[in-house]
Amino acid sequence: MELTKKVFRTEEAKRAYYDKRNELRRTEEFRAKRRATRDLVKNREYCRDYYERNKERELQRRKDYRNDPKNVQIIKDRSREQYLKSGKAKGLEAIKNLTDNYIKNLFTSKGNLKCKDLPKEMIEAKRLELLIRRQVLDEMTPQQRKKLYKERYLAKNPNAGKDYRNANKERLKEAAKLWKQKNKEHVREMQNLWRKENKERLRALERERYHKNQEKFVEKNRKFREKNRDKLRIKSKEFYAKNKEEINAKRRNITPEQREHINALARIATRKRKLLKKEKQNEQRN
Amino acid sequence: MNNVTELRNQLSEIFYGLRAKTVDHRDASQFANLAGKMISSAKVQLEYYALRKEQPNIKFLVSEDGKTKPAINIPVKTVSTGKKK
Repeated sequence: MELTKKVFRTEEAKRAYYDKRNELRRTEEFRAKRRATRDLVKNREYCRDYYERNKERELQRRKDYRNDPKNVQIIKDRSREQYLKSGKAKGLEAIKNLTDNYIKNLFTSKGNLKCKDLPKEMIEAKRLELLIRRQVLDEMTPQQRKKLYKERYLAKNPNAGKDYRNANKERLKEAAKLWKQKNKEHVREMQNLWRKENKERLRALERERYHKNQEKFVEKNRKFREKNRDKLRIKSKEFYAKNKEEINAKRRNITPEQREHINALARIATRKRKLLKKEKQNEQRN
Repeated sequence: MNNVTELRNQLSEIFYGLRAKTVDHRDASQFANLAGKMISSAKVQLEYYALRKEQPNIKFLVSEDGKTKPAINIPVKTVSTGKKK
């Protein structure tokens, strides 16, 4: 900033003055740069000291510069340019274009091979393989892609799923409970569907379970009947009263073979009862 | 596919088939897997000979003319062709 304004007699004089000043500035700039490169260490130290002395002021200046809406686009462009110049962008471009150097690097990065050892045909074959892989990924649906990535991850870390489940056991349980509460009807439908589909399997499993623990079940049943004899009698009477006609109709439709079987069972039951009576009587006499 | 050139031709056919949607992407991925394995096996062979500082004619990398493509420029002690550097 100029503190005082210069006054010129003519416009030519004014132009001449400014031209001369600009030239001087240019040369001065060049000289300054040269000086800076010559005394790099000195300059660095000076800058560091200066920054420490005026830290707060500098930070504030930077903040103001960034927050100014005029400079937003400038900063973006500058950062973009810097990114394009950087090695990261070049590397990404190489991956995108599948350059020779990138493919050579794939072969040479793990192992003792050198670039000069690689035949051109192999590089081209590898490039085609990678191209096909990319095309396949493009054609996949997002779900298929997700599945593939999951499989790849699990192939590298086979215990990843178990570890995650063990670490978040309680959280997952709570989440499952909440989900079930929210989607009660859906869960019921799914359960019914599963039962319908696996009906025979379930029956077989129940049969197996019963045969394994038959004695236990029979005893349990006997105990239950002893305890709740009166209740069961009332219930059976009620049931008979309700479904009298159906039961009688079923009785009428029994085949002679079934009749014989029922009679035989009844005979066994009466014999047992008689035997029990006799035993009781003998005990009383003794 | 006895050769890298044949493998490459096959791969290019499949790639164009994929683009034209005449080849299923599952089949293509399986083929790419297989090709990758073949290439990696050839790489292992190359590595082995590079460590031994030999330059034999690997059948997989030999073209129809009977030459490896391109010539592998390894500093060699014993060369199969008889030339010396």
